[in-house]
Amino acid sequence: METNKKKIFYTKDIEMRFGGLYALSEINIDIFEDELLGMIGPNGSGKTTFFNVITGFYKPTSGSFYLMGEKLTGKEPFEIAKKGISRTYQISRLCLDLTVLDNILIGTHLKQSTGYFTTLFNKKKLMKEVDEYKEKAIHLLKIFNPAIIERLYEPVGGLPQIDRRRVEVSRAMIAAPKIILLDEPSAGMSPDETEVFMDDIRKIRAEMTNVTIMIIEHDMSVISSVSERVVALNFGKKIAEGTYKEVFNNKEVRKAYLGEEYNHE
Amino acid sequence: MKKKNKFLDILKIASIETLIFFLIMVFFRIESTWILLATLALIGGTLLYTRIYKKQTESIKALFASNRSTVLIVLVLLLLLYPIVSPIIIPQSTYWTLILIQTGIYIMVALGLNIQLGSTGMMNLASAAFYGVGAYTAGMLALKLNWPALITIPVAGIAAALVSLVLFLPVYKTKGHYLALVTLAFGYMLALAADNIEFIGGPQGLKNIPSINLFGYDFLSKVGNFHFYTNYYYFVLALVILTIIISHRFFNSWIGLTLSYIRDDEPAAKGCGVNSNRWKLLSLTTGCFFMGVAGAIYALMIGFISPPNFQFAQSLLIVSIVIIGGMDNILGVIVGAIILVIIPEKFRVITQYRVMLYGILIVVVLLSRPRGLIPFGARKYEASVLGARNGKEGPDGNK
Amino acid sequence: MTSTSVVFQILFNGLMLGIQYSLIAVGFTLFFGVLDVIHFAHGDVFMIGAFSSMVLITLFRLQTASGVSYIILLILIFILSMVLVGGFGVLFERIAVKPVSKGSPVMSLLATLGLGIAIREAVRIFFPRGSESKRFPEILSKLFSGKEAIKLGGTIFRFENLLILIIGVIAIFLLGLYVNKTKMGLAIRATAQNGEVAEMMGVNKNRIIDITFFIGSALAALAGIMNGIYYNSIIFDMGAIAGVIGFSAAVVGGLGNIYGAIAGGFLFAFVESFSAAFIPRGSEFMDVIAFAVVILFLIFKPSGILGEKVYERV
Repeated sequence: METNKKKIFYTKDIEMRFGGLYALSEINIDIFEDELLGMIGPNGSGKTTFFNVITGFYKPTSGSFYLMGEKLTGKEPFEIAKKGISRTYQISRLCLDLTVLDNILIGTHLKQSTGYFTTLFNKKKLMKEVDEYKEKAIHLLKIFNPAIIERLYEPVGGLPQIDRRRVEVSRAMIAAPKIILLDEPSAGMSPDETEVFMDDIRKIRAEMTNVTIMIIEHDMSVISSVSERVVALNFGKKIAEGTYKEVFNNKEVRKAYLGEEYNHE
Repeated sequence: MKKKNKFLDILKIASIETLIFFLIMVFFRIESTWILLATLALIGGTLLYTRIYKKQTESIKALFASNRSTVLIVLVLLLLLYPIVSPIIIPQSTYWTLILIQTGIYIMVALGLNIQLGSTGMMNLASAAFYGVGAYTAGMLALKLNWPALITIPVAGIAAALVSLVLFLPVYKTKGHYLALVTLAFGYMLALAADNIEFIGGPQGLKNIPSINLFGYDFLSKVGNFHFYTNYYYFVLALVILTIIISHRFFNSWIGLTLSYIRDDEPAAKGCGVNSNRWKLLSLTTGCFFMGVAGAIYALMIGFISPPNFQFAQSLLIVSIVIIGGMDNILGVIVGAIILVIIPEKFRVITQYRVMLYGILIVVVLLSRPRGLIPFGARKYEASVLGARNGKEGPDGNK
Repeated sequence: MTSTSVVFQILFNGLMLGIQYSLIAVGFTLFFGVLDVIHFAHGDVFMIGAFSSMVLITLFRLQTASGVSYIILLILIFILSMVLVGGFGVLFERIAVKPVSKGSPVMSLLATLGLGIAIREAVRIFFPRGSESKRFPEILSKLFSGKEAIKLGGTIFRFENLLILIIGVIAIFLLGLYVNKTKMGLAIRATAQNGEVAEMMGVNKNRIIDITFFIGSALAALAGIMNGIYYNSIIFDMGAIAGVIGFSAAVVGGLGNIYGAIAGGFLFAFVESFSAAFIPRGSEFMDVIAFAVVILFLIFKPSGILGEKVYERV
């Protein structure tokens, strides 16, 4: 598929082996600037493993990956975050006892300039920075659901599931990364909530220009409505790549999801 | 009209606090066990009252919450007046002043542990050992080298921080329960070392450590009619306030946020770019610095330290203060110290049961309120302990 | 004493100590495996084992019995102590361990630390003259009236010590059989690997937890009895250091791994035995040396000798 977008990320023959199980093998995926790339595949096909590898939580047993030409393989998660990749998790990882604001502000960690000694001796500088990032957080929440703002200082555990997702996404967004990885963001949502969430994704796209989004999804309606490009995995291997339509009609993909008997046009 | 209401509020707060202040002094004074039990019954009754008459309790709570600066200023004033007023009311005021000073010192140690355990979730069962490192450092520097207190105290803190760095560097990446075991070992080894190294006194410890002497003024000298620990009382009060302010600043900053996130979900923190290993070390060394400083003050004040002061029992006390009082909550730690240090002093009759009661209390608190009696509240990024910013309440002046 | 006899003596000491530490360590590792908890009061359960057996010995007037009734009483006391303490173990688990198990292991560590202290102090306060060490009666020597020991290469091996060693080894062997060959054992292993899935497969998790704590505590009680017989003296805080060493042994062997716990127990015992013999004042520093070993392990091989079975999920 031809595109005049810049390639900012690619993997080279990534292999992730757990004992005898090949969770990923021969993975070669390119990611382009300012695109929305969808990743689909049946359960256990290696999608989340892929995210875990490219964010440094798992070190691949072989292969490598590059962001803006720089090799990131073997780096720790916090180093990769520093290079510009943010993510959300399949099961939301928020600190439920901490406030909504705290959970978003942690996303600004790499941009915080007030350090140890400044905190002790230069209160004003810290407060200025806090206010600045708080404004950003509020701005992001306004996009999704202004009602959350009233609960800014409440524990995030008290929010409904969909708002918690939004907080998690805001945390990833506020870091102003080059790539945002969303791992099954609509998991656990009802069809209505999913509709609303697809709107959320469009709003993210509008808000964050020049940022690439990669989204793992099971819900095909989400993928079909928001992705520009789709890549499909099965048993740890990439089996198809292209537009949603191309991938959806791919024989291998149909076989993976629907089984042999349904493999007809 | 508004000014008059504000003045009335201040008056209300001041009178409530002064009343409690006097009741506490009466509490210190009472000797008879029966009256003590009656006092406890009274406290229990008051607590019951607050449960039943919720509305009045809520309004008082709200009053205190919205006038935090007044509450704190009155509190500090009362504490400043204490050494002057107490001899009038309490015959054994010397003893209680010393107890209060000791509590203050323990609060400093506990606030140090609070950074490690409460904020970052790292278990340190050797706080008494680091307290001891500070005490011995200050003791040795004062005794053998005659260094002035203004230097030995911060140096003692740094010594404790350095020792902690050396000890923790190989092991801080280990998981929580392993860290507990390792710190248990450290505490044990350091205590054993103190007992066996003749150079620092061995089992006899250090004697005749010179007290703090500021420009010729010996801190142990009597001030008028007040007893000789009075100077130390004010010194420790000032340092405790300083420690509280520092802890407050840590909590309401990126530091507090990052440490809490490491505590509650380290992988997620890493995903946001947090170099959790470095922050953990920072937390450990900072906490140990506080502990070292507290130890130094103790050594200089009492003039005599020995290995039995720095055993696991004391570490356990500090851990209990943080767990029972409230993890990651400055007020909780203070309350914990009051409950675990002052109250047992009064109930001498239960001394033999004291350790057993600690054990039971830890279990009960962990079962019913795992985050302590006063768990941490929302981080509001307050600029000041006094709670107000730019003359208004809260960070943006609205909430 | 020739040097070989010294070595034999040290080795034998190591074995005797090792069997006790292993029995305790196995409990720690099982509890962690099944419930993800650190049971810091387990050492004090060991102490209760020693004390309750001593009480039973006095109660049943074992020392005035003889012949067949003596043997029956002896066996009865062993079994009764183990069952009793096993029951205590379950009680403690229900009160103070399971409720805090949902949190991090640090919480359970703290709660059981408190529990252990309470138990220890309760014995010190409420047992008559509890703070003094008590003489544990010689109960096995009657079995060997006449020949008390054999001499091998200059070293004396007392029969009663050999007997306890054999009992201990049998206990561990039976445990291994139970865990690996029985249905209940399978249930325990399943729960240790993945409690949720085990439950979905029909395992009654709560019952398994109770059973695990019963077995672990009973084994600790056996160790307590052995300790009493071997050293002839027990004291209220004997569980404190035994608990720490037992935990260390389990950690070094890899938490959750029974064979590792056994290996760890013997490792610590031999380190202790050798250092007590060769390092001046070694027996005082034994605990410190044990700690140093643990720390070294944690630095260089954090998952233990045989590996801890934990996978961090993201």
